[in-house]
Amino acid sequence: MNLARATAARRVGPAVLTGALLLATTGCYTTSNVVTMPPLRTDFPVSASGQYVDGDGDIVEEDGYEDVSTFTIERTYEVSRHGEGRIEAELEPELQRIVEKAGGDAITNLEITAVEYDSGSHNSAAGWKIFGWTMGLSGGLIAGTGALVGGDAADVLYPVGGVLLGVGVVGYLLSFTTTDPAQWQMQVSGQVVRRKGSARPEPAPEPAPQEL
Amino acid sequence: MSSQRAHGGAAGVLLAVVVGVGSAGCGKAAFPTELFTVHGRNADYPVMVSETPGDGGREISASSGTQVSVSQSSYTSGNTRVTVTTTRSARSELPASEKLAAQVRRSDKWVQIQNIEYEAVDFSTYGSSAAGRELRIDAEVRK
Repeated sequence: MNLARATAARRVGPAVLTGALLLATTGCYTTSNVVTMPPLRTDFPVSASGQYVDGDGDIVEEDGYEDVSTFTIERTYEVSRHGEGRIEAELEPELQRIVEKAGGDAITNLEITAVEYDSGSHNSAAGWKIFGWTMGLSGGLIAGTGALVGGDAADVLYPVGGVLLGVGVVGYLLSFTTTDPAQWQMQVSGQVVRRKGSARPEPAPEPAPQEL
Repeated sequence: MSSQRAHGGAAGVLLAVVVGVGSAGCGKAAFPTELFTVHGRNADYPVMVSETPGDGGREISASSGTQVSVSQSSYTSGNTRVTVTTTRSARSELPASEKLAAQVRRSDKWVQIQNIEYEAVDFSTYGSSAAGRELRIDAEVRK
C-alpha cells in the first residue's frame, strides 16, 4: 500500500512541478505607451515661455511682439493592449498650418498637457488571460494526475479537470473580446505672435472648393 | 465525499477569480494633469521647444509622475479563507516643469528642450499588478 502511494507520488511530483513552471512562465502582461517629442523642426520659433529666440539668435521679449491668436489642439496616441509602442508626437505639420493661417511668425507660451491616460482593456484582458491560464493549467494538472493515479480517483479527477480546463479555455478566449487600446490624450495650446515692425505676412488663403 | 470537496474547492477558486477580474475596473483615480504638463509659465527667459541654433550648454533634466502597485495574497485559517490586498501608491510632489525651472541659474540666457517623453507602463500577473506614468523633460541651458 505504502509502495503504491510512493509510486503515485513519484509520478505526480513531476507533473505538479511542470504545472508550477508553466504558471510561472506564463501570465505576465505588459502594456507600454511612450510618446516622445524631440525638438520641433519648424520654420518659426516655438517657445514654452513668453520669450523666444529668433532666427538670428536674438531674444525677443514680450514687448517685442504682438499677439495674433491662440490655439488648442488635441491629439491621441494609442498602442494596442498588451503591446509596446514608442510614438513620436509630430506636431510640426499642425503648428505650421496654424501659424500660416494666422499670419504669425512665432509661437509663445506653448503648453503640452497629458489630460488623461486610459489603459484601455489592459486590466480586463489580463484578468481574463490569467484566469484562463490558472483554470486551464489547474484543470490539465488535475486531469493529468487522474491519468497517472488511475483507479477510483481518476473517475473524480477526470471530470473536475475537464471542466476546469474548459472554463480556462473559455476565459482565455474571452480576453479577445476586450481590445480597447491604451492611449495618451494630449492637449497642446499656445499663442501665435508676430514681431512688431515685421511685414505682415498674408494669412494663408482658404483652399478653393474643388470642381467636380 | 472527496468528489464534493473537490467541486466545492474549484467553485471557490472560480468565484474568487471572477470577483478579482470583475473588481479590476472599479475606482478610477483622478489624473493629476499638473504632473504631466510641459510649460514655461513663470520663466523670464526663452524655453525653446523648436530646434534653435546655439552652442551646447549644461544639460538638465526633470521628471514627475505616479506609481501604483496592487498585490493580493490568500491564506486559510481554520474554516476561514483570508485574502489580503495591499495597495501602494506614490506621486511626485512637484511637477517636472517646476523642477526643471529650479535648475536654471540667473546667468543662463535661455533653455533648449531636447526631449519630452510621456511614458505609461501597465503590468499584470498572478495576484499583482503595477502601473506607472511619467513625464521626463531633458533640456540644455544656453549662455
